[in-house]
Amino acid sequence: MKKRLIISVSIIMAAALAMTGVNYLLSLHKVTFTLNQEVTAISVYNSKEKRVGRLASSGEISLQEGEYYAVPEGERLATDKITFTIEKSDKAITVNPPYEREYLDEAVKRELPAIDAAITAKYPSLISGYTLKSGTLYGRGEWFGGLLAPKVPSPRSLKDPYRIVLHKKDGSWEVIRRPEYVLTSSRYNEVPVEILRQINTLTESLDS
Amino acid sequence: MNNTDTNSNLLKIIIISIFAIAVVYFLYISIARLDKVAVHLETFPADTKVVIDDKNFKRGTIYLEPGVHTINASHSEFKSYSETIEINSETTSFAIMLDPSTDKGREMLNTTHRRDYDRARELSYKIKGEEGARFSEENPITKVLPDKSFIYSIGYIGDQSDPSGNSIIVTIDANEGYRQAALNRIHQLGYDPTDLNILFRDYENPFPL
Repeated sequence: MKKRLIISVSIIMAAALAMTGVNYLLSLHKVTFTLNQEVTAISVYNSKEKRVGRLASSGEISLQEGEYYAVPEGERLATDKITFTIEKSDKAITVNPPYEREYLDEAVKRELPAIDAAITAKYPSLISGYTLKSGTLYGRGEWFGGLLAPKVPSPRSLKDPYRIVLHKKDGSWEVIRRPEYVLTSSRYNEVPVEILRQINTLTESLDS
Repeated sequence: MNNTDTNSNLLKIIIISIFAIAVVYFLYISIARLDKVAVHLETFPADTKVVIDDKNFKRGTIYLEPGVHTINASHSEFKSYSETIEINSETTSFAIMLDPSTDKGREMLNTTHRRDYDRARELSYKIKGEEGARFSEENPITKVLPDKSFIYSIGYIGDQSDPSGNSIIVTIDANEGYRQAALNRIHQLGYDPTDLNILFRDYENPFPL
């Protein structure tokens, strides 16, 4: 009698364990990370800041539903968190972080003459009335945003600055659309929206 | 074979035929309504002639494909009405209410067909309420506009390029030198101008396209 009871309980426990295991396996989703060649590794953390995986090259990690973030590693790369959510399906994530701010701020000094020349070539008759300020590189240094501040005869003359965005393609800078007071995502749809947001918050205080 | 057997077989054939016709009809209706949205059409007067994209409809449940449709409504005692509407998966109903053009029409509105009118008006108000809620949900900045100060005025207008009527253009009235202040104000209100369609009034961009 006792033997039967033990066997029954064991079977129930084994079944429960198997079901839990199957449930867990079914709750996992395949997340494919494609790392840009400059990314040497990524670490993936859950919402409780616990590391749940690490990849030294492109690959897959199995994750349950929830909120996660990845931290990229690599020379000159920004280590900002890349947040993502796993829902009911597999996911593919491309890890292509921008360069770190210090590097971009240094690089913009080298690029400014070429950027100035590109803007002057685009608006030869207008540009003498403006000063390029707060020029900043974004992404991997292929995007440039800045302010075109109108030259005013006296500090009392108020003029609003225009915002300009340029893209570097095949080694040369090109003005994307025309300068505006605000660069909206609907009009500048070829520019990553996060870059537009940053250009729209540039102020004249950080003269370049 | 006697008469009873013949009758019994005939009855079976009739029942099977009716069943088969019902199945075919059901399949035909199901296929015809595939990818269409069931919409309740309410009209005043109830016998308004409604033509949607050159097809006649009556008040009641109708099935329309998602997208933009042109509606023409007419009645002998009422002014004709035409509008363009966008049907999407969230559209559940729409109401067409005609204005009387004759004394008989006015009489219908005020007495004989008053209940039809009240029913259509009630639905119309309900739809307007739902549309208003959807509009606010899609354009949350409208809850805090207009916003005015001594140096700028921020408002909004409907974006005519969107047939759904749910898109807006934020308008900024500000003199040269104060436009950035208006943009900063939009930031302060909790909205990123990057995500908006913005029109500066009385302004021309000096940079060529």
